[in-house]
Amino acid sequence: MMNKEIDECLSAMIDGELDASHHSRLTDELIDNANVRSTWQRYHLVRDTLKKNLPDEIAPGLFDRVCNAIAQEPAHNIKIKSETERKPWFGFQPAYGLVAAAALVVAVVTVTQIEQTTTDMPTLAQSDTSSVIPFDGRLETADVSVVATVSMSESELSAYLANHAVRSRSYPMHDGLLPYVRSVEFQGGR
Amino acid sequence: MTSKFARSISLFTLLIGGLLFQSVHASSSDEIKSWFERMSIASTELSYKGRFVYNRDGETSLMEIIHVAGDQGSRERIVSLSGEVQELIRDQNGNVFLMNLGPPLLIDQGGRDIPLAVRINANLDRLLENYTFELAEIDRVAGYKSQIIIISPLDKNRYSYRLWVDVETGFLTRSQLLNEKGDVVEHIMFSDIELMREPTEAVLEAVLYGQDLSVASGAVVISNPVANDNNEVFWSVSGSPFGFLRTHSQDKISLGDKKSVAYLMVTDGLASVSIYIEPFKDKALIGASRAGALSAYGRVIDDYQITVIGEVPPITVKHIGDAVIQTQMSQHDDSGLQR
Repeated sequence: MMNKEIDECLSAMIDGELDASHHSRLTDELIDNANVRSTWQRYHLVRDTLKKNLPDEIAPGLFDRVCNAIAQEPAHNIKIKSETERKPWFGFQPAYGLVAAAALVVAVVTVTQIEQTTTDMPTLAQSDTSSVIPFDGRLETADVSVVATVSMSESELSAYLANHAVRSRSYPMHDGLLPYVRSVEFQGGR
Repeated sequence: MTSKFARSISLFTLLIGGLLFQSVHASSSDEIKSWFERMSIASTELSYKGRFVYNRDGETSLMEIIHVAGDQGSRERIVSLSGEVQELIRDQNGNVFLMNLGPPLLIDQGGRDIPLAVRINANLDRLLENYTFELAEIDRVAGYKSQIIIISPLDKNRYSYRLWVDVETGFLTRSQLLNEKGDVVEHIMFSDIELMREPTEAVLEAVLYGQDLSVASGAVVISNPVANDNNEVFWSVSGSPFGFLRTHSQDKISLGDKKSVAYLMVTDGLASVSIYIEPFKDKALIGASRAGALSAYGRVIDDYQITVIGEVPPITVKHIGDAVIQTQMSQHDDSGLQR
């Protein structure tokens, strides 16, 4: 891939707008090319700065580095998605994610059946809001004629997803890795 | 004369090729087992530190993982390097915590892994009813020569997997989950990885925890099983929809603020689907949908809400949900699958 094309693809990937045909090629570039990885991380730095998502422990001199990074990047390459533009997950924004995502972490960790535990600690879902959420999901498979409608609260559906992750050993291919990743990813406020 | 010789060579080549082809297919099951055994050893014995790209549903993140293997259990730390800073820790007792959310958030208490390979090998015959296993070409991931293993479903009712496995160590360097249309719905790929038989001091220090991660620190646990009562209504799944069988008898769990939800799980040996049954109130998921790899389906039957969730196509959660029936008594494990 040419440098310009790579830059455009990186920008699209960060925006979640990279099409499947380019994704595989770009990931290969990310593996093989340190410069591409560096550029990619720089894009994230710029995005995170604009979103004020920078970690506390980031190295000194950040301001200068970010200014330099911004100066180096064409403005049109830096597209920051607003919260409302992000993809909903089962019809609602992933702010709920703590419950579902957190439990995803455990999915492959414990393969043995969960033993009964005695605790008076509150469940995580209890601390969630219980507002009724709209559902805008649409079924992708024509084989199923019913399109879902939801009138349950965000915390209710989150609790299902979380519990499924805990108990199902989702994605057994990854020996614990993927559920962790999904957890952190949802936590990241996608 | 020359053409006869050429034809003879061609026939000989075809014959040998055919024999080799048969040989490869006859030994593929053993070969696959061998690969998963090596993966099992790698997942339990190797320590590693690396960065990987994670893509789900078209969105991509960069993460760092540090994993320390040990006889007394593995320890692990994962940190997101893009977006908000997020961190997750698993201690050697299997307790899993989400960090940087105030006090450490306990996700689960004390679990130990059964390696993937053990589960796959134990269930391989059953898995072969629904999946094919194929050794594809050799690729290179993060500088590691990796064997591609393709696990393909025999129908459109489950997803397929592509795994890249380091040929030297058996370490999983890359993986993809593909839906029934062949689209990649989840993708993990290491961009750099350092594998080690013995963890270095730096790696050991990286998984030391600066805070007290005990439950007493105010951590919260997700959900707990609830003791059964005498008035419990029992449920089952009729037949084996799309080859999915129940894994164990009905559980009764607390789920958020719901104190009594019946729970069943079905699996085809690789994919798992959860079924939740509770008295219908005024809110319900009706119908089927999906987001990324997960599908959900809901229906109401006899004043009970059935909710089905799993990493399968929507048609499959619907088929399973429609097969849920009420029974007179508890039924035990139907499948004999090792989970």
